[in-house]
This record gives sequence, C-alpha cells and structure tokens, in this order.
Amino acid sequence: MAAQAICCGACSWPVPAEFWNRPEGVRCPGCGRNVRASVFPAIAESRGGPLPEAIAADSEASCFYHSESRAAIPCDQCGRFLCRLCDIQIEGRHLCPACFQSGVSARKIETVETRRTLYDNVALALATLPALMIWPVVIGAPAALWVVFRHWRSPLSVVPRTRFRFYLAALVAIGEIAGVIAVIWAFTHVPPPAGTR
Amino acid sequence: MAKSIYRKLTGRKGAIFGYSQLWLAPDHILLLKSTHLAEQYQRFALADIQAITITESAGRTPYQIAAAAVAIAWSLGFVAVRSPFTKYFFLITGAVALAAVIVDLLRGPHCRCDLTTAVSRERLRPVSRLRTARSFLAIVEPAIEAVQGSLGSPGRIEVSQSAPRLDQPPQVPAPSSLLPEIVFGLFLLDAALILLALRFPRSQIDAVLPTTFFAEIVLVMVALIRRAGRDPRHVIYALLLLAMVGIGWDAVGMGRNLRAMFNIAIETGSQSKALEAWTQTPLQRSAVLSAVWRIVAGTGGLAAVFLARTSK
Repeated sequence: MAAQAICCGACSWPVPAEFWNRPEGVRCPGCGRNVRASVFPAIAESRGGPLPEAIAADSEASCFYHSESRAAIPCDQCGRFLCRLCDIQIEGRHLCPACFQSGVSARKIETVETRRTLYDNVALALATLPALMIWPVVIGAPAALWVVFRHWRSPLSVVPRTRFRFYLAALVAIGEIAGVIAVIWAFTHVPPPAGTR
Repeated sequence: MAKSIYRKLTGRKGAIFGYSQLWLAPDHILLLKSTHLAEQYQRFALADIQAITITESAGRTPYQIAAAAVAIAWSLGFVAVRSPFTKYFFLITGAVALAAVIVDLLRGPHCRCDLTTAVSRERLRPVSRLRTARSFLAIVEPAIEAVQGSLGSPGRIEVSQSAPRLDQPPQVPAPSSLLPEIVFGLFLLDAALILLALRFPRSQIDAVLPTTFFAEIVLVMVALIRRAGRDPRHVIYALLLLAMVGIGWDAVGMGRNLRAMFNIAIETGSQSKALEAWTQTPLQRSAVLSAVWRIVAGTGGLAAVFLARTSK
C-alpha cells in the first residue's frame, strides 16, 4: 500500500510510519519539536472513485447520462437511472448531477453549503453601530427593522444559533425610532423656556 | 430551533476580523470561519481523514516572563505620579496586562494542528493549545475510527516515494529583505536633517529628529533580530551592529545635551535674564559627529548592499 507522507507541522519533515499513533508523540528530527501523528486507515486506501460497469445485454437499463454504462441506482429526486459514476450520495440520498446542482443552487442541501450570511448580526450591527454617531440612526434603525422582517425566515448558521439577535435588533431599532419621533415631537410641540426668545 | 447535527469540538479562536471554530457532525468535521457578518464552512468527511498531526510550538516562557516584568514595571508607575487619575490608569492597565499574561500561562503550551486528507492538508487554527488538542483528539479519534476502523500495524504501509527522503529538511530560500537598504537610507536622511538643523537653527527641523532616531533604533533592532541569522549578507549586519554603537553614543550625547539645557535654563532663570537660543551650545560638535558617522554608515551600507545584489 502506498500512502502519502505525514509531515511535521513546523518543518514538513516526514514522520516515519513506525512513529505514527504514539500517544506520547515523537521528537521531529528536522526541528526537534514533539509531533504526535494520529493516522487512520484512509491513508492506505486508493484515491480512485467507483467505476461504472458496461452494459452486458440489451435488456439491461442504462445510465441516463452514459448510454453505454449499466444503471446502478435511480435518482431519489427525479427517478433517472444512474451509473456508479453519476450517483452522488449526499445526506443519505442518491442524486443525479442535475438534481444535486439544483439543490445546491436552491440551498436545499445544507451539507454542501460553503457560505452563509448572518442576517441577525447584520440587523444588530445596523441597529447599534449608527447609534455611535447619533444622527445615522435615522437610516440605521429602519434598515435594521427591514433586515429583521425580510430575513426572519432565512436560514442562519448551520451550527446551533438562536434568533435572540433578531429580537434584540428589532427591540433596539424600535426604541431608536421611538426616540427620534420623540425628539421631533419635542422640537415641534414643546415651547422653549421663557426668556430664551 | 431545529435540532442541529453539530456538536461543538473547540472554543472560538479569534482572528483580526472574526474567529474560527470546529464542530463535529455524525459523518464530518466542520471548520467554521466567521467574520461575524458571514460564515464560511469547510467540511472534512470522517471517512476521508488520513491523519491529524499535533506539533508542539516553540516555548514562549522567556517572552511571557518579559511581558510580566513589563506589566509589573508599568503598574509600578502609579508610585511615580501624583494625579489620582494617572495613578489608577497605571494600576488598572498594568493589572489588565499582567492578568493577560497569567491567563496565557494558565492556558498551557501552544501547538499547531494539521488535518490531512488525500487531496489537502488544512491547518486547524482553533486547536492552538496542547490541552485543546488532547480533548479534540479524545473526541475525534474514536469518531474517525468508528467510520474507518483502526489502522493496525502501520509498518506495512509504504510511504509514497514523492515524500522527501533527505538527511536534512530542504532549505527554504529566504528572499533578501529590503530592510537594510531602508535603514541605511534613514541614516543618510537623518544626517541631512542634522546638518540642516545646524545650518538653519530657527527652522525647527530638529523637532523631527527624535522620531527618526527612534525609527532608526526600532528598524536596526528588527533587522538584527529577525534577519541577521538567515541573511547571508554578513557585512551589512556587521555595519548595522556598529551603527548600534553609534546610536548608543548619540543617546549618551542627547542625555548630556538635556542636562546642559537644564543647567542653562536654571542659571538663566536664577539671574532673571532672557533665555538665549540653546542651539548655540558647545554640543554642536557632537551633532556634527552624529551626522558624519551616519553618512559613513549609510553610504558604506548602501554600497555593500549594492555589491551584494550585483554579485548574485
């Protein structure tokens, strides 16, 4: 079995196989630092994926995408027959490349998402940061409320996260808007103290 | 909130504009990188992980002791001042710095963690302490072995011939730094400023000199500490070392200057006379010498740098 070298993180010196999986680690001959290498059976496996099988008889079903390959499994989404090459296993389902692509585009397959916007933090930032300079609150607070309402149902992080920041942002933004209204009302309705005119 | 498939593996490792964190799912490890407004995800299937290496970092005890000493010295500043505000400022900031050093010590030694798959080798920044690494491996190793099984005897695995097999690690050629050129250029600039300040005493050019002198000290020290061991241009660094002697001599001269200026000010004040310009002190000679050694070091250094670059 040929495997790629496991290297020291500091100097890239290859750690010999006899020093793998030692709990106490080994002193690296390159840099002298202690290196602990936990190595798993995947190191010895071949990197090639499954290969499709050729059709042996006319009665056999063929892959939707490769007419010369034997169908191995249907797509769980659209039902097209797939060969081993076209079968994409994701979240316990078998999908064809087209359904996989549409699932990624529609953000329906969470485990392949590589990026998410944290709209709750965006709303909170819009509600709080403009308040540091006071007058931008006039724009920031309504913008924060808009983000809260627009993205209330948008997925947040893939890891556990509550909607507490959304509530907080809405509360702060409503408070700021109320404060702005109160100031405008005070300017227009409350008469100035006597003797200041 | 829907039940998440993820279980927290490490705490948040802070970066300049965000943090990173590791999570474990039933079939993969998730490396989350957050900027606070957005998150990026990298997933490593447990079935694909070939190895996890933990490399102990170099000891930082001397730096931690130095940092603690500086923090204590700083907080002792409260005995040297009278204003209550300044007293509390020194005390609180010093205590905060000392607490940071103590927390760093208590968190234990640093390490580096790398995760290897067939197609990538990713550094896991959230695993930056040996203690974290141990608890991380205690969770992750059984999870990976549950998917892959255990390796058994690793002796039967033949390591790919593409791996380097040398007696010494390959040398990484370090690009030659421009820092010496900048330092020697600064010497010439300072020399010019000193001479101009002497020639035009009312121009206040000398007000810039403390800043540029400080820049000289910092840059020379950075050049000597960070580059001297790796840069083969030894002549240049020898010149920089000599320049340190010159800078030290300048510092002594400046101390003398200050003392002379105080003496003149006290004397003039006691005689109730108007203060004369103290740029006309007898220390002009030392200023000329400062300019001269800078010109010599600057031109010599730049010549040496030029010769070293052209001889390659």
